Amino acid sequence: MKKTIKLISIAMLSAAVAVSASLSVSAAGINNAEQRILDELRTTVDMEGNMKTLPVQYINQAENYMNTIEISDADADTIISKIEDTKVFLTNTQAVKYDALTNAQVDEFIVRCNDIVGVINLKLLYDKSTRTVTVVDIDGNVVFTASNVGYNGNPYNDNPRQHSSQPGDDTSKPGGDTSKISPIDDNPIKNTGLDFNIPGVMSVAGTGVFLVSAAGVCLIKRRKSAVSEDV
Amino acid sequence: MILPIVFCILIYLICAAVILPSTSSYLSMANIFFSDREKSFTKEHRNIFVPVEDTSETPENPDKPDIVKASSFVFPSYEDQFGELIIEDCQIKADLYFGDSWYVLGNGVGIYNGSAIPGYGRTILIAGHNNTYFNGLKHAKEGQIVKIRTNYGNYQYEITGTKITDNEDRSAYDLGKNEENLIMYTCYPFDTLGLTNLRAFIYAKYVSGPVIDKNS
Repeated sequence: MKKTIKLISIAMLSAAVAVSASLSVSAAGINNAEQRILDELRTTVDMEGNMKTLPVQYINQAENYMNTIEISDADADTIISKIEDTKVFLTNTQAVKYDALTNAQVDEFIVRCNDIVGVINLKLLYDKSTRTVTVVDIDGNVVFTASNVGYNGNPYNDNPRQHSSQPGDDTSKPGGDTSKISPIDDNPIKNTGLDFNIPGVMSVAGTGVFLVSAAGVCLIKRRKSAVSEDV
Repeated sequence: MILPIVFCILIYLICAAVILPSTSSYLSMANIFFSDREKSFTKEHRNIFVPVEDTSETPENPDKPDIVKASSFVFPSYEDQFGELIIEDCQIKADLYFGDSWYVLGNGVGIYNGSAIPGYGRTILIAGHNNTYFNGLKHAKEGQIVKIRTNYGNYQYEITGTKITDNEDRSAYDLGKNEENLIMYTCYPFDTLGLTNLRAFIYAKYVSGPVIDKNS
């Protein structure tokens, strides 16, 4: 299930990035086509009355990327259409949240997202050890990154006013168990307390251990020779 | 003769696997010595920072800032070095990058790519290590001026306050704010040895610098 959740998270993030990407022509701010996409990204998805929105930091990343490219009206129409289709699909799953999608629904959802990503030649990388999603363009340049993703698999905010923990929730629906609702995932605040050269420190530590060990061996040999001389 | 070698390797492995995580404080202390190493550009990064004429200290009309067209300059991509950040009162002068990856934070300070660049009229969230580039934030006080020089213009911000809070405190910043504001943060305490959940947030308001026209 955790794997499934991670896949959902990755797919949603890739969709968010995908809609903001196109072949790079020139940097020219935000044109009308790009603005329409951003507006679409800010809309909600209705999942059994639970309104989901993308975290603002993801939309900002999309906007920043759009400032480096030029998206045509035709591309924007395609992208928006695909988003709408995916939103309809999600609504029709009758799940109250992304975590509650069945494996088959997840598979289809990923196919849909991959369809969007594939159109614009982006590649999504997921580092399980750091739970970091990175999307790169065909040249390997980072387009989007999100850390601590995959813990709960839900890249979307829960609208507090229509959260499934509100009274009247239908817990018989898939995902209706409110005890399983997870917190928002990605934290924009990074670890800024460590900056050391790990290989360097390890080398020094290894050398230190080696010297201590060598000294120990010498000491033991000396004692042995001293004992043998006494004998 | 093999025994000492085995013993040596064994001890080393124990250090690496068991003791290392619990001795991060000492490693941080070691960092005091290692952090002054030459900048390690182990991978390529793009430097698009070409200083522009500094008129930020004497703007012609502070109430009516200059406009810079988004199409007239190279918008920074992830991990691009596109400026520098200076707080003279805090003895801070660091290269400014777009993005806040470990690579970036090892070489300067970085704007979170889910926030905005200077002049965009939104929240600018900048991270830096507390034991290197942002250690000087411990001297930050209200009224001090933060200078940011970029490849498209020079900016000034005035520090308005500080806040020490948990790194999970979402109320410490608002990335959806439609008003130019600068937030710098680093780990707290400033001279701490090791990881900490606390962050020092330094808030600053916009003073001067060109406004980016996003639609041109």
